[in-house]
Amino acid sequence: MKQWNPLFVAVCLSFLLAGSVYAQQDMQLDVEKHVLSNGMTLLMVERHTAPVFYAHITVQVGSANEVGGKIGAAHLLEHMMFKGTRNIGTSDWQEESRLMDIEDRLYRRLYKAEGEAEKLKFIRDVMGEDVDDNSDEIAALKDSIAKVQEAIAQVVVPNELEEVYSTNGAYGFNAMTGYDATSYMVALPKNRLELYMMIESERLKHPVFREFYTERDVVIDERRLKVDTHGGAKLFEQLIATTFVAHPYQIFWEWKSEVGNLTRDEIAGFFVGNYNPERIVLAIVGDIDVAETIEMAEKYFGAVPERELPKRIETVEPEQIGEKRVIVEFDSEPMISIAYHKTDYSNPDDVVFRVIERLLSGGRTSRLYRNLVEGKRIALYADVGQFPGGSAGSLDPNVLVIDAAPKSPATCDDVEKAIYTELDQLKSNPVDQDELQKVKNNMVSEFVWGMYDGFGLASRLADFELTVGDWRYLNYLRDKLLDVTPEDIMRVASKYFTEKNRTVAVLVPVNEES
Amino acid sequence: MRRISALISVLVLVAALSAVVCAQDYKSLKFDELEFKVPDVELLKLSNGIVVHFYEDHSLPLVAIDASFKAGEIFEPAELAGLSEICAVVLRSGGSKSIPANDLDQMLDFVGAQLNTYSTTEQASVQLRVLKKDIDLGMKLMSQVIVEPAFEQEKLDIALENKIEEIRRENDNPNVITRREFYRKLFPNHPYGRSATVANIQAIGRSDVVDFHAGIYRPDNCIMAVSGDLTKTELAELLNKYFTSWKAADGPLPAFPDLPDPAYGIYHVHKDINQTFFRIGHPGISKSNPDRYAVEVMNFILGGGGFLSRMMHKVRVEGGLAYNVGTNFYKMNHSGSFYAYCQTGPGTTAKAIDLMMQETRRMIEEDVTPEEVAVARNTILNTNVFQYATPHQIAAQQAQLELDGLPPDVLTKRIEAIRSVTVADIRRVAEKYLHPDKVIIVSVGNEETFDKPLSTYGHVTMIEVE
Repeated sequence: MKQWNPLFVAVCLSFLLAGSVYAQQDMQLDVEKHVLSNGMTLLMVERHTAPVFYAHITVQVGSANEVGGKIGAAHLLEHMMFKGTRNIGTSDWQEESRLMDIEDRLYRRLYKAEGEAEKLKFIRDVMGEDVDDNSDEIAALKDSIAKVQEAIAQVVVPNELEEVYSTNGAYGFNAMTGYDATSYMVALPKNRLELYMMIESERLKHPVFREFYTERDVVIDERRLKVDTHGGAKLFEQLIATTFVAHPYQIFWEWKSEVGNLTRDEIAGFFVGNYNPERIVLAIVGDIDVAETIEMAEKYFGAVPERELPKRIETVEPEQIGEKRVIVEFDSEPMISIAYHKTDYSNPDDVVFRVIERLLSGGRTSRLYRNLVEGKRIALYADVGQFPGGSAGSLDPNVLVIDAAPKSPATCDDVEKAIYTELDQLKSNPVDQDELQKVKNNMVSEFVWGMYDGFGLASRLADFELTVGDWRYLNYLRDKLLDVTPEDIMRVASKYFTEKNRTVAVLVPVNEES
Repeated sequence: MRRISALISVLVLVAALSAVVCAQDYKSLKFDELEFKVPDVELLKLSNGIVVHFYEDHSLPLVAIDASFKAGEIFEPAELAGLSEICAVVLRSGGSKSIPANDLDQMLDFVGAQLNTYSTTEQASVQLRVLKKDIDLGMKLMSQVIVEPAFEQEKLDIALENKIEEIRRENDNPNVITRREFYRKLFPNHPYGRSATVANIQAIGRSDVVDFHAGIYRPDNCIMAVSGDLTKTELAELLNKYFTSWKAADGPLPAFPDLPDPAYGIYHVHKDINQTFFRIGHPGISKSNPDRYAVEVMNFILGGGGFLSRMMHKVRVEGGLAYNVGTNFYKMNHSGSFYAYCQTGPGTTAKAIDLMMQETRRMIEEDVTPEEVAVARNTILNTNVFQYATPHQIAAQQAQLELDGLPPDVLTKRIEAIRSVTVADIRRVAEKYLHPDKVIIVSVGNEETFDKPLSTYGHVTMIEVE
């Protein structure tokens, strides 16, 4: 699974509102942090409301770390991590390993022969020479591949990882590949903590990338399912490809031509080069005992080997030098997306953006809803989010995106103009205190509700710990949000919401028959 | 208000994994039994007929309330399909008789409270999520919209326009087309199969909405689930303050329309995309069907158990044909649907259909293995605790049983029944409830690029969409 979640998860603590309509509520998050001997970080929240725990492993590597020609490596690796380990998913790992090497060699020969076949075809069809083709060789290689795959099937125990977890009561066993991070999550009944530790540490120690070639096809199919058949996704893909000139955030989804050529060795190399304990956070929320959890984690996760830590290269996106527009023709109703370059989490303006997002969208009294969906009645929806962006923001400067759909007979043009009117309002008129207070009150409510869901809390803690380096940034953020003033909003809006800094993507309906 | 006895106490013993002699480490782990007792839920009944299932939990300063009604699309007149949804939307957006819509939004948003309404085929609900300190305001506004909504004309107009725009956009999403056309053929001209059209929405007037509300949203048809940071006394006071003056309505709810025969056949929607979306299915079982637990286990093995199901294994893991594939028995109060679904490349469409039909037939023709039954059973039993993982789930589970007219001990019985399902039971229910030779197939995609023509499976009727 790969997910783009533009929705900003608001966080702050309620005592920022002392003196307002809110009574003071001392909602402190009580998080225990422990760094294992190999550098892996463990975050724990004891919650005894149900006899279960929610566990979220986040690794600080994502699609932004992929290199040209190998786009899709992070996502394919995430899929391969479900294929088991040396102990899980096989009855004889050594034999299987030997056979997989043969399988890889045969595939290399097959790809070479297929390349050769194209050349022979060109010589025959275009140059008119009478040359033999190599179809016999290709058929023989395919036959050999089928035979070795049959032999592999004899030792593979299919879906063993899924089966162990499911039969032990796992809930929400899944993973997500983002731009800056990849996450693996599962919840289990509390008496399965040791099972969890054993299995997850094995996955990090010695995963086995079995059934590689069929899974690669599944990843290719996922693109057709989630991108190629949806106008909104096609539009978004073009929006960010146009917005970013240099930064790897420009690629929304891997292309078949690259992911379809990745090899098992390349995936293994990506794993060893990036899954280092120093860049892994495990957050557990639930019915656990902290001391026991630490002891168990040292035993299992402490043995995950320290691997070489490559230097993280930050590609600096050059300043945009003029408005950019892109048109997408697709058999779909019209839509529009507008992106503005902004800062990463570390710039003080980032906090102001969090408030701006909430002034504009999210709720019936937000400005875009009140004035575009209601009011002018020209949009079906108009939403604002950050891309890419988890709860903690992004590692490198990202974009603020406004997505909208015009309501017939209104057009994208009408909606675009109305959006700019709203952005200009932010630049020229100070936000009144009640409206600002409303946004802050909403963030308080979301913070408390955010603790309700075990998965959500675990994921947010891991996200803050990795992105910022310390989950307690949640607290600092709260103080900063308290300080946001109407003047800050005017300053940030004026600085970033400029014509020069924006990229506009418009989906123009094309009926295939016309 | 009187107190009814505490309801259920399900004791779920999660079976310890048997230790198997094997080198693999995880198999040597032994687990203490997880003794899990589903917490008791309090039941309150108001004099006007409202039934409240309450679970007290003070771990966070939050309160969640759902007020649900047996309503939804089943009570819509055919020519006004969509009325139930429009009524739910404008119930929330249209203000109340004493508070104008925009003021009501402002009051809720200012304290970060969520008040949302939903309408599905068989029920409608109003849901409040609020910080404890704002519960009085939240409950007050919730009762205002439920008991005396204003359905302001402008908000109704916006809701109708938005719904029309959504319908115009339905055909942009192949998943939506597949689902919509499948149900239209499964339950022709019946609320179970209906999807609103632009003409239906255009025909809805304010008086239709007002009448629908008056007929359905009434205290004797209202079941609440309440959880969170309240005591029973506090809750009783709030209910008294805001809901007891609501007068019960006279007369019965509308009758459930008779079920039609399905329009079996193969239907295709042409769309120039590089992926085929399809569903294959027929009528299924209702929520109260006595075989439902054996069917649950059977469906898990066939296609409901994710990676542990036969279909996912054949089509995705072995075949690499699709990211998404499976089967589902969707149960409603009076009937249900069974369908197998998949999305795959056009060049592997028939291959996927063949594999899925083959696996469905195999369920009828051969016994499943005891190991498959054990995997399905252990998964269902051991994940059961997650049905009660949040305080609100605990209250909502009981409220839902009441809405569905099922006895409160049904959850306990389900556990016992799942535990005792046998290989023979599965064969029996597969024979009884799977009919691979009498199906509706709905596909969306570019049929010119399929690996085999759809007509291989029989006469194909093309469906035109805009």
